[in-house]
This record gives sequence, structure tokens and C-alpha cells, in this order.
Amino acid sequence: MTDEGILAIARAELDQAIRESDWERAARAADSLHRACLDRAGLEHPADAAVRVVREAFFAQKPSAEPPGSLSGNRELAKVLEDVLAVRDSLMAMANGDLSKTIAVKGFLGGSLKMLQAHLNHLTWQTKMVAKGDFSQRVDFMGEFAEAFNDMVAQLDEARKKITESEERYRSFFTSVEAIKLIVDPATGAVMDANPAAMEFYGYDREQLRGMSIRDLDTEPARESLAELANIAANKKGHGFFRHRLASGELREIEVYASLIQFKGISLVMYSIHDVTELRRLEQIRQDVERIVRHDLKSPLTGLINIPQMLMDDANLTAQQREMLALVAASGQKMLRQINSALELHKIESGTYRLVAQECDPAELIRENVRLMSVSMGVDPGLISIREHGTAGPGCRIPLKTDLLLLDIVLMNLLRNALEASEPGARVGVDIFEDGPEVVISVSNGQPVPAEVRDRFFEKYATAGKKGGTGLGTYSAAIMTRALGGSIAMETADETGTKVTVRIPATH
Amino acid sequence: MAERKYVFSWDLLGDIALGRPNLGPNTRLEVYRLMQFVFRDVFERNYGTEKTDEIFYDAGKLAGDHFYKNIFAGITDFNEFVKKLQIVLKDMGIGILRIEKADLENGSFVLTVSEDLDCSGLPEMDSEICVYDEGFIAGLMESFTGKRFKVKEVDCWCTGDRTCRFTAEVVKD
Repeated sequence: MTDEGILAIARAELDQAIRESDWERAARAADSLHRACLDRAGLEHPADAAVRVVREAFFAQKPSAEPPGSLSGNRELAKVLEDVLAVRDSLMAMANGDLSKTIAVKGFLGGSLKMLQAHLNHLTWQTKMVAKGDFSQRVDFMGEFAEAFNDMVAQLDEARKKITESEERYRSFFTSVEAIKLIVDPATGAVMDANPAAMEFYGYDREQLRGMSIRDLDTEPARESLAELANIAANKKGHGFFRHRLASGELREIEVYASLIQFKGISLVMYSIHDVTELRRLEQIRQDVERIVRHDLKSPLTGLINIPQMLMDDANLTAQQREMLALVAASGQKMLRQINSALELHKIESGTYRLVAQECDPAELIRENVRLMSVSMGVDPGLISIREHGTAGPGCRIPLKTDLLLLDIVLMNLLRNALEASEPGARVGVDIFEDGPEVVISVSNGQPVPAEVRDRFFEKYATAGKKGGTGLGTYSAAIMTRALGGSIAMETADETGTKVTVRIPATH
Repeated sequence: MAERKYVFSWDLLGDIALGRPNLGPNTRLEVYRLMQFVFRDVFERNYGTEKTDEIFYDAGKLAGDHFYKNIFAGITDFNEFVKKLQIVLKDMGIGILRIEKADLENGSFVLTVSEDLDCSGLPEMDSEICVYDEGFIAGLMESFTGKRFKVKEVDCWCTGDRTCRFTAEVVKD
């Protein structure tokens, strides 16, 4: 139908409705006529325009802030637009995390937004309170989030209580123990805390110590003190000897066991300090005495060894007298070897020993030691079985180039140790074989090592169950094996007895 | 001023347990609102809106002052005060207090009261109605801090909002 046709029908319908006073029908006809006229004029119906503008205000990316020209005088529409745009702004601000924007709109929509804003602001305040340590804060709105928040705060509270308890326990331990303890910041060397034992030892009160650096106590150069701390921090523990200065100015030798600890979330180093000044002094005296005795004994021993040799040249001696003189000479030799062994040990300990490598036969060295022991200790050589396994087959000589003196002392110590530990008449086995670039020598006996010394078998002065044991035999064997570039190990069991195995490089 | 017939004190609230052994301390909220809003109606008719608001603010402040003295006296930590206030207001059915901002140093606070005794659920009107609440909060804040406060309700159920929001600012001399 043409536009003219539609207009004519609408006009006729309007006329008819007016004539009949049917005003509702007249209103609908007038509206149809109005729409037809707007269509002819290419204009938008005001209701459609209002809906479009409000819809845009709600949903468009960039809505118009003003009603269109045909509706510019419509105050209600202008107010609706203003409110919708204000709600948009407020929502966008909240979406961007701005909770301070004033929401100017009244009514249900604005009120709901304000309630959300108030809740979020309160939640922010509560979170700040939690951050300040108030773990009693609980959220009673915002559904599942509230549960999660409350659960988190409860767990934080629990964790904090545990940390507090742990710190209190630590504090109690720290202050009550008699051992000297310092807490030090590994980054700066600052003394963070000191226990009563430390205060008594250093002669400073707690506040004085807390105002000091470990560098103020340590006589080492500052750089080395800090390097040591950095090393402890990196390895989480450390051990060393230092010389610290007390408040009185006195210097004390200390042994420090340091460990990295966490305190209130900070990594700190705890020094457990032992005053070893007196121990060091006694040790020095003992070493000096030992060294002097060794040197002083060597001169008379020369006579003790040589004079029997000269006497034995006399043809008038009986066989028994010759045997007795041989025993005197062998005893002198034994004592000389022991003194030499102790002297070499001291040189190794003090770092002054110089290795001299030479070709040697380990099996022959053992046989020689057995011969000596048979004379000096009355050992039956038949009780010691030597099994030699060279690459060419059993019984073949194993080539070895090493320091003869040290190897001799190692073997003598291991053999003597095995013999002394064995029951009378029990056998001692020696196995010698090659293992790649190493020569392996193991000495076995049927007795287990006493339980109390198993963990420190190779430590100095570790001895048990042996009459007159000095605790130096296995120690010197170990230290000399290491000086030879080798390793030493001990296996022991009640059922199988004890085997000490030495591995040394075949060529030094 | 002529001799007064009544000067409020907490004791004059009476011994409720003695006086109401069967009905107890609670009553219906409508009764409370009925009394408050007929007072408002009569006051407004007699003294005008502005003067009525003043009376309600002052009454609320007097109530807040006594409320503090009888329930919160001795508390010095603000957070502890807020925590206890939240519990008491909720337990007594007065409202749910939440803090949005608390700047103690500058004496500036924003707080909300949801499910408010005075106004939650009232029909929408043109202006905020909780003037008594404003005074009540001012009485509490002044008692706690020892400083003068001006409390203003900025959002109210009666203006279409879902929660009553108050600003409380220290009055600078």
C-alpha cells in the first residue's frame, strides 16, 4: 500500500472514532497517523527515541549525555539519563578499584551500589586491621568470599600462634642454656641478641652487645668476619675457631658452631660458642712436651741400637747372650720407629711433611713388619697370612710407587692394631691387590670394634678395650693414608670381625 | 530555667528484670518506631523541622554518651572499641555496624549501619531521617576520643539507599 493510502485510512479511522466519541480508538488512530506522518517526514517517534537513548545510556560504549533534539525539553528523560550515566561512572570506578567515588544516585539502583561500595570499603578496613595483627576480624557478608576470607584469617591466626609459641620456646631455650650464644645478622655482622651466658663471658650487658658488630669482637680483619658469615648463610651452618676480645681486653680462643635460623621471618646466624682457650693452651703444652721428648730420646736410642750390634761381633758370646742382645737392638729399633712415626705424624699435622715417592713392594713391607713384631712383640709369624693378587696372578709382585716411610708406618699401625685386638693365637689376614689405578691393602681380624668407638674409629685418642691403647694408631694410619693421596675405611660386625681397607694411588 | 521534672540517668531505665518478669527486655520494633516518629510529628508541628532535628540530634548524643559510659568505659584501643561496639549493636538489635574509613589521626570516619533500628524498611522520602542516630554516633565518638564530632548521615534507607552511611568528622576549633 502506498504512503498516501495509509495516511488516508488513518485519517478516516480518526475521524470516525471522534464522530463516535470512542476516544481510546481515536487515540490509537491518532498515534498511527502520527507515526505515518513521522515516516513521511523521515523522523523518529519520540517514544522510540527515548527508549533508544536510555538503552544506549545503559549499554553503548560512548552514550550521549543529552537527550536528542526532539526530546531536549523532556526533564524526566534528562534525569533518567543523568542517573544512568552516574551509575555507569560509579560502576566503572569500582571495577577499576576506586572505592572512594561518591555515588550521587538515589533509589534502589544507587542504594544497591552504595551497599556494595560500603561492604567493599569495610572489607578493605578489615583487611588493614588483619595486616596490623588483628586476627579476630571476620566477614559476615559477601557469601562464599566471606567464608574464604574468614578461613584465611583463622589460618593466619593459627600460624601466628604457632610462630609465637615457637619463638617463645626458642627464647626460653636461648636465655636458659649455659652455653654462650649470640644471634648475628649475616648481612651486616650486627649482634642482634645475646644470652646471659654470652653477657657473662664477654663482660658486656645485653644492650651493649646488641649495639656491637661481630667485627668488634673478632680479632680477624672485618672483611674475613663478614666473609665467614656469608659462608655460613650460604651453607646454613659452619664451624670454626676464632679469637675474640672481651670487654676486659683479654683475648680468648673460641670454637664456634654456627647455624642459620629463621626468626620473625628473617635469616639470622646463631653462634654457639665454646671457650677453648684453656684447652688450646694445654694442647700446646702437650705437643711441645711430645716434640721435646721425641728429639731427646732419639740420641740415646742410637747407642741402644748400635752397641748391641757391636757387642754381637764378639766371638765369646753364648747363643743365649746373642739372642738377648738382638732383642735389645730390636726393641731399640721399634722405639725409634715409633718416635719417627710420631715425628712424621706431627709433620703431616703441621703441614711440613714432604712426600718422597719411591718404588716399593707392599707385601715385602708387611713381611718385614711381621719379622720385627715377632722379635719385639713375640708374635707368631704363622698367624699372619698375606695374600697377594697382582695382575699377573696370585703371588705376583704388585708395583707401587709411593712414600715408603709413610706406607711403612701405616702398615705397621694396622698390623699392630689387628694383632693387639685379636684373641691370643687368632689369625690376622692381609690382602693386597690392584684395583684400577689404586693398590688396595686390607687387614682383617676376627674381633669386632667396640661399639663405643665405631663412629670415631679414626679420630685422635679414640680407643677402647685395649690395654695401654693410645688411640693414635688408627688416627695416624688414617692421616698418613690421606697424605699419600689415598683413603681408608673400616668395616666391622660382631659375626665377621673387623677389616680396615687402605686404597692408595699406585703411582704418586 | 525552671526546675526540671526529669534529668536522664542510666538508673532511670529501671530494673527491667524486676518489672517485666514475664515479658522480658524486648518489644516489637514497630512500637519503638511508633514512639519515635509520633514524637517527630508532634515536635515538627510545634517547633518546626529544623528545631526537631536539633532535638533528635541532641537526644541521640545524650543517649550515646550514657551508652558509652555504661558499656564501653575503660576501653582505650580504637579497634577494640569498634569490635565491642559491633557486637553490642548487633546483639541488642540496633544495627550492623561496619567501618569504611577510620583516620584516627585526622579524626575522620565513614561508617555504615545496616538493618538500622530507626529506618531500614521505611518508605522512601526526600531526605535522610536518622538524625537521632547521628547524635547517638556523635555521643559515642566524643565519649571515646574526648573531642567534639559532627556526624552527618549521607545515605539513608529513606532516600532509597540500602544502608545508612554516616560521616563523622572532628570539629576543629
